[in-house]
Amino acid sequence: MVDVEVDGESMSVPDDVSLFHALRAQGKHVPGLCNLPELNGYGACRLCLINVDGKVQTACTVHASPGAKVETLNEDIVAMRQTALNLLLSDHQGDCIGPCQRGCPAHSDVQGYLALIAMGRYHEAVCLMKKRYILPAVLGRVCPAFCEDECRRHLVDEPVGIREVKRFAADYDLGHGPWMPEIPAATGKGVAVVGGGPAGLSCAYYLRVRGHAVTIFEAMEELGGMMRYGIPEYRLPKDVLDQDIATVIDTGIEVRTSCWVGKDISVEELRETFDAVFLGIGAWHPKTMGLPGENLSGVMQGIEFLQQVNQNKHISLGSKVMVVGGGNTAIDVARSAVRLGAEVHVVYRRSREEMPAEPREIKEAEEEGVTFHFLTNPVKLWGKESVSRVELVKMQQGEPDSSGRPRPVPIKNSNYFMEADTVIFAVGQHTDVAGLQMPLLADAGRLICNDTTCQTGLPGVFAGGDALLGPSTIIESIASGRRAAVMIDCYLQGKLLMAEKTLSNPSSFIADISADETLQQLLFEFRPYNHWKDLSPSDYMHIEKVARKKPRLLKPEERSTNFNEVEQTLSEAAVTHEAGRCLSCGCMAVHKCKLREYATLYEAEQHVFDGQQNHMELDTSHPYVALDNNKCVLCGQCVNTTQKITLEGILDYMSRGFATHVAPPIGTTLQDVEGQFLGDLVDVCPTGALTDRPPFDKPGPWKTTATATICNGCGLGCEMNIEHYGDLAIRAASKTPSWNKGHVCDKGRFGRRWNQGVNAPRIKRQHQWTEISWKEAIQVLHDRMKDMAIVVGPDATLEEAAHLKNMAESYHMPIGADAAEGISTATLGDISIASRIMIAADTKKYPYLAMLLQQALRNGAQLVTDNYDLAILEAPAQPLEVPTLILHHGVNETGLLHMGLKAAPQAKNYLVVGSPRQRLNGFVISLGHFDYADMMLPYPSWIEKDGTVINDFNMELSLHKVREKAVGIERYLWFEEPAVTAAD
Amino acid sequence: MIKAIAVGMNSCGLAAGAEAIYTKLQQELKDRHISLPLKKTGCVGMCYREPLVDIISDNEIISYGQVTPDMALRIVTSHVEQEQPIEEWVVKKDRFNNGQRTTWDVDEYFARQQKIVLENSGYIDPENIGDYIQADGYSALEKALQMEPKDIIETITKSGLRGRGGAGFSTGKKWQFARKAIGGTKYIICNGDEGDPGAFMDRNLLEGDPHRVIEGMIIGAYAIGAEHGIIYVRSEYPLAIHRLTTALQQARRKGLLGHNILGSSFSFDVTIKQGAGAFVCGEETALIASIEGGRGMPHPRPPYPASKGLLNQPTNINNVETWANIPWILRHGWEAYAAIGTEKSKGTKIFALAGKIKHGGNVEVPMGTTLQEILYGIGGGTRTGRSIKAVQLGGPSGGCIPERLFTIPVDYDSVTETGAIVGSGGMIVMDDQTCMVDVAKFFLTFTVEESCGKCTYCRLGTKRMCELLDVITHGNGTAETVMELERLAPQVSRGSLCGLGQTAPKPVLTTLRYFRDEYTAHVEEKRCPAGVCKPLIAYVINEDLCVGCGACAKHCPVGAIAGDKQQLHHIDQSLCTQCGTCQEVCRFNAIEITDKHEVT
Repeated sequence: MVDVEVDGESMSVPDDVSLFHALRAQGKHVPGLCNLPELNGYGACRLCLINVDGKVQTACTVHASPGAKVETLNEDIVAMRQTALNLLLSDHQGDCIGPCQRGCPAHSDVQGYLALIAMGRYHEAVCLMKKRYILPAVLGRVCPAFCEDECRRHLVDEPVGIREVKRFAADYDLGHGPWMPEIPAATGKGVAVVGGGPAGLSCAYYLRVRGHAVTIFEAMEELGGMMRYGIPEYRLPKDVLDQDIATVIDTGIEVRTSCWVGKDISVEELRETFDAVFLGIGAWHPKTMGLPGENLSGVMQGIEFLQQVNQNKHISLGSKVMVVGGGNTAIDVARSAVRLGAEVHVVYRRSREEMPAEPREIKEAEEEGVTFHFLTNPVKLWGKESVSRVELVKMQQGEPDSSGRPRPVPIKNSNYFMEADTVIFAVGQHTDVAGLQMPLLADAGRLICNDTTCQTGLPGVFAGGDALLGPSTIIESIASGRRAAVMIDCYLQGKLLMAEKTLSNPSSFIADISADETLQQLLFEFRPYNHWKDLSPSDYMHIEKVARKKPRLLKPEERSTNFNEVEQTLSEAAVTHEAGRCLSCGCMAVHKCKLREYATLYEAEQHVFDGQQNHMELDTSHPYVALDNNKCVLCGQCVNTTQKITLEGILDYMSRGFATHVAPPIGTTLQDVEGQFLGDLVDVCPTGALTDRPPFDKPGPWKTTATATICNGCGLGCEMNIEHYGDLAIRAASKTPSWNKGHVCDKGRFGRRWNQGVNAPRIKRQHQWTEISWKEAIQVLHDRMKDMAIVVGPDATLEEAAHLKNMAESYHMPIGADAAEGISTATLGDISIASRIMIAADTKKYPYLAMLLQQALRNGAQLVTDNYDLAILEAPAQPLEVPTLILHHGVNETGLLHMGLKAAPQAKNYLVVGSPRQRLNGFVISLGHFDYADMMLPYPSWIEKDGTVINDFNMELSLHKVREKAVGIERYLWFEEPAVTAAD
Repeated sequence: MIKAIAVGMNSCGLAAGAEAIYTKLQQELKDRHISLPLKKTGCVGMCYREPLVDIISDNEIISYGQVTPDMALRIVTSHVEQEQPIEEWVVKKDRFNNGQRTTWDVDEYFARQQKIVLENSGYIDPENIGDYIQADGYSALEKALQMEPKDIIETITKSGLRGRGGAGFSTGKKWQFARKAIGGTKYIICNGDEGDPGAFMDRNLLEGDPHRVIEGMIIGAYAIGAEHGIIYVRSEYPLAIHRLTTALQQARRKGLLGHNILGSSFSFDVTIKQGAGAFVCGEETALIASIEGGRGMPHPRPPYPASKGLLNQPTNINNVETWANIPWILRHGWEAYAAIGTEKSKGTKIFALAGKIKHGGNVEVPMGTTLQEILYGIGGGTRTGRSIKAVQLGGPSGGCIPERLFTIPVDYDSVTETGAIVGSGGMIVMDDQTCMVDVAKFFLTFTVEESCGKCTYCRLGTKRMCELLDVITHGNGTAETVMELERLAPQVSRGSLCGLGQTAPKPVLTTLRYFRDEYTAHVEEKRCPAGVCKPLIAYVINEDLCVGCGACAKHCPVGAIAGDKQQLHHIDQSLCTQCGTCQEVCRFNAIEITDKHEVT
């Protein structure tokens, strides 16, 4: 250890490791892409630059010297790292996230949930949606689907029908016991949410899932805001809305309806009672045109009209209704008025093309008999008490206005009249700030808030939704409510100021952000680095055109007289097909990409250095691994791993200078390379250049969780992680630290033996496996109990084996194991110190051992047949006089031998547990998959088990379950009463 | 009395046609039954006068330059047969007084030179060990073997010899590190991976006097305690490899290499490793990686080769010229060596003069000689007679020094102050028809292609810098482009892993420092003052000078020139590709270069 000064602070750091590791161990932020723990610093990426005694150096290649003055994050260092990142990004091509995700105001992982839906995992899909927005069933009906506008599929044929697909998944979820989030322990903080519309519900939900107590104050009788009172039922059935809202409220949110904040209770009172207040009061105040005659009876405001329709109030419209406006509200009003039996005319001052309403809505309105009058504007309403006719003027298109659309200009002397019994204005709404009775600033009918934090001028009072945005879509309101929730959470943690700094200028606060997980999450959620490929239709020439599945609509005559839902849900087959049309644009490594992480932190950009880019062919020849050199940053980790650690030489550098890239030997592709550790190279890749190809129809770039377990591929029992998304096991991956230094062979990794389970009882009839009922299966088991022996297979844990031993004792059954005899006397350390090694085993079957031996040979060990100091044998075998490693096929054979379980006894019937390999003579009932069984009973897969195994080095290793198993029969066998009478 | 005839047969001589001259002389001597030895020598340094033929007498060598076969015939008939030198063709005369050689030459090329390393080059047959031994060769080795290794290292340290590869690190100290390093097998390496454009010091030396390098290595190996030596030389130097191979065989036969050298207990041998010609392999760690059979990629230091080099063993690497200095220092003593040069840069340095210089070749001068003296005094200024604008020192890793700084002495420290480096000794001379932005781009293009691709700053930083220069030379740059370049260049220097990337921006930084006005002209006036950058220039026909001969129109590859016979011709600027052919073929200097925007 030596004393050094780091960023002005004295500290003691080890001098036998590079400063890269020494500083990281001290909790210092030191970025780096090219460092392999098993090798010395490589110095390729140039991101770990630090200043040591006035000189810029790579931390990975220098060691601490006494008295050294180190600066890790001064302005110069940040600028240098930023330049390095800008340079790397300038030749790094791909989409980080799909364009759909960019298009979504809530930035939801569209590609991820489409992939889950394609696989029929609807609850998981909804869970993923709810990371970013609530009310998917509502959105599945009424969202304008900004994601579809961005969908790349339009370069092929038509965008994926994302909204319809979402609707199916959301409906499925509601209909099958909706997915609900886990609520963490209470934080002790309470927040008042004013307004139960999409923004308020969203804010409430995302505060609730962070453990805060939330109370919603809603002025109306029911929750939902505009969704309930503004959107007619034919678009959004009330029961769907109720169910969707219930999934929000049921997280434990308190609701006070019919409570008008500003009348029944003041904001000031809320501020006193609660720790923070969110204002999601919407924009309910109709704008007026100020025309003469507006106060005649028969003149209504669109939002009032819709509110009454949605409350089933009686409205007398007369026979002819004129609707003024061109937004969604105008269409909703018009179509509702049709349903109330009126003849409806929509008057809009611009042309059809400029209408803000969705085209499909306009089309459906026309189908229902609504007449549109474009380039027409009312100037005066005529009538005695009640309106009877409207004076209109024709408009023409002038110069573009601030919105970029042609300004409508009245045509002189073009006035004319149209009869109308009712005139409904739908020309916009704004927020009634005055109603809150608080000194809050507003501009043009919107509350003024801090752009970053959503905080109003009053500390602790935040706002979102239409009150902040002006009339907007539900998804925008939900996104805004969620953002406010995250900000309120920061506020409650006393981090709001830091949150603002984090989001406005992260590269100036790297140390603070790196030290604070909340800020990191905030940054990566709201300001992640992303870039996209620049593509044209010609890039997709190879993609087959596949028509989009359209939902069925009720026929116009079926719908214009009632408020039944017009659009029908797609069939499951159509949904799977539609989700399958997704082009999976986003990078598979987006969630683990270190380049993106650093680019986010350092505010790096792709186009700082615009210049030539290398365009390389993708290598997708290998069934499990893909190589995309366009994303490679030449960190060299894969090359160094395969050249210097696994010693397989699968990949190397090719070409020189700017054209340098990584490739398998000349003339080959990944499918040609012979190696057992290709998967390790995926794990060390810091970007998406080398990725797994999980065996799914449509793998998504899901943000996985890693659970540590043991590989069950052979008796070595390598430690590994299973990366899973919920219950879905995505891939096996390196675990570090681990006894096997993170190496997992391709056999264990891609063979996925760890994912084999049996879900339903099956019996072999005429050499065919047939599914049978549990009752039937238990009966067979019961019938065979006499003269039955238990055989413990090598995949059984020590705990399972102990239970089986107890059970055998209770039932007086003989018990044995499928474990080849021979317990090692050698330890792992013996391999590294051995100089003369004798091998009588096929080490190819144990790839990690083969790698260890290669390393030993490189370090000077020899393979010999006599005078050896280490022996390696394959079971069955007995240890020799020197340290002896005895290899087993099964992961826990050594463990079973330690328990005294040996060769299988003779019996007529067998109950086998834990993936045996040996054939048995008799009627074999297997828990789990066994080819030579006569009957198979449900049994969890390897990654659904907790437990302990002992490997061939006599290490006791723990496996952890990745997911809850489906209830298997093994519960009835030994975890409960030892009785086998229980059935389904 | 004429003793022998010699032809300079280094690559420079061969390129100029020495082979034909040699054959001609051989034939004539045979036909005329003259039994004089016809020798092959190396390069004496006057590459610009090759092929050279020496008529060697007892006390005199008379050299003829730019000899053609016809001239060779007359040299034989007149000088050899009749002992009548053809004075008008003589370019150099050496006279020997008591073994002391004094040289006169027609260009005063040698007058200011001082030969230590090149003392034998051009005078001995590099393929004949006898010649070398006769010139006192291997006597330094004999002397060294009588000394304690530490005393040899002390001698070298005191001599002040600094690494001639470019960095200028004390050779004695470097040996000391290797000597002290703990390890099983020690290696020494001779770095002959000379790759700078326009540099040919090492090649000439290896071709002209290979034994000197080998002798230096044997002494070094003895001092350090190494058993194996490797000469890393690029395969583009086949003649050097051939002569080295021959020299090694001869040395082995004489017991100068192998077991128990000259009867001592010291054993050592040398092998040759041919490099594939990657510039980066001149970098020590990349060179070692290449010898080990890997891709020539540098790794970060420490560990330094002195502690963990070839095959993780202590390794000492010196440049060809450094090794070649060793025998002289041992023969003459460190004091004699230290007496040459400046306070901090001792001895002599070889420079390869190239570019627009009049006298292109290898010169050896005491450290501290001014650029003025080297370029004008020895080099004779430019071939064209135009003024020298700048000189690029140290190849792509070096920088451009403007003419106004030519008074500085060429030593490690003074040159470094200018932003350039002494480097291995390449000097590329530029006249006022050279665009300095274009020069920067030229050198940077070289480093972009020679980057090994390992580190971010070098692989991508130099590439992006080059693209910025390209934008400027295309007239698309703005002041912001230059600022961006100035922001990026020092970052690439400081951020790169090895010397290649660290020095790559030097041509840009020095041209920005000394020739900013040219950058400004490119970005602000969209003008290339030197008339080089094609997108910014236009060829026009001077109406006063054009006689309407039609040569330009005939040769124009794109048919951009038209005009009636005997009438003024015109260039259609919309078709012209600025290839410059018209200017080359016009015998009336009527084609002129002007700014592009002048004609559009």
